[in-house]
Amino acid sequence: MATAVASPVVNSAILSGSGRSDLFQDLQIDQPLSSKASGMAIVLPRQKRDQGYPEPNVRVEILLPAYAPNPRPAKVLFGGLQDPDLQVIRPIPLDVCVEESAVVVSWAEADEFGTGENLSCALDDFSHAVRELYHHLHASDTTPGADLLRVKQILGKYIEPRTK
Amino acid sequence: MADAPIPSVVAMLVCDQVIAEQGTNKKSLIGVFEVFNAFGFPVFIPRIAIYVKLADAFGKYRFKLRLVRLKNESLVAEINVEAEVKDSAHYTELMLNMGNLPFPEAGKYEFQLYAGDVYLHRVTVQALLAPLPPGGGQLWQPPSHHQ
Repeated sequence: MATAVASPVVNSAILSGSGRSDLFQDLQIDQPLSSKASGMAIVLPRQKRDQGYPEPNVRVEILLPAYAPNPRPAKVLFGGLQDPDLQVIRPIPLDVCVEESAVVVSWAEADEFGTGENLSCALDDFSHAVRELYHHLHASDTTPGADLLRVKQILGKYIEPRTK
Repeated sequence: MADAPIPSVVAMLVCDQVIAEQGTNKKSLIGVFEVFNAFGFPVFIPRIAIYVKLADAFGKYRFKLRLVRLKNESLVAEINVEAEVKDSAHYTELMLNMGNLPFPEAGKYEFQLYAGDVYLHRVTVQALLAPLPPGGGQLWQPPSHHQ
């Protein structure tokens, strides 16, 4: 197997998410923004050539596949719930096995599982099941029994509603 | 990463190139795709980029991006990225522009993203074997200059 030859160029968005307006403060304004005097169209300020990127805050390394761990390990820590209303606050430990050519991921503590033709499909299935279970158990018209109350408590240790 | 919150992936896309505009740091994704054609395999994709938008990230992370061949779930490449997110109030963007990433054969592949050992998200890419064009598959060459 081969691996990536060239080093990737990585720019972390230490500033990109912030939307700070102070990025514009150093811009050189070649012409006034007002068009009243000349009657011409507004000319946007030109960026300085040396403004550059913010200082990178990332370090990148590329592993040869021989040194990298198995992409389908026996255990997976899961954090990709894919629900805009929920946040995983603690990684969910999953066991991975293959049964009849299907990959099965199972969460023993909550007795939940997901299946698929590969690990990612099984994780997607698991994610869907957990999302539905969480919303069902937290619905106002649901009165869970003792077993489901235990599952609800377990879910609460790993998942909580998103606050922002 | 031990104390850092688990980020949620809001978007993850594969494209030819991600450009960050100087000054505003806005990202432009050029040539978003999920399927590509090649006249033969193995093939090295000269330009391929991953864009990831994350919520809830704060602190130091070691992200892992794995290119996995889905046929047998074998690992083709793994890229580790150490990053520190200093502003949790806003989304975080991660962009990787890579060159000559190998695809050993036609089929489905997946880029899997991990934060430390925690699986976050995946995006699938399909590599297709394109039929050679009539005339033997000569690649197009730019015309030479004539005086």
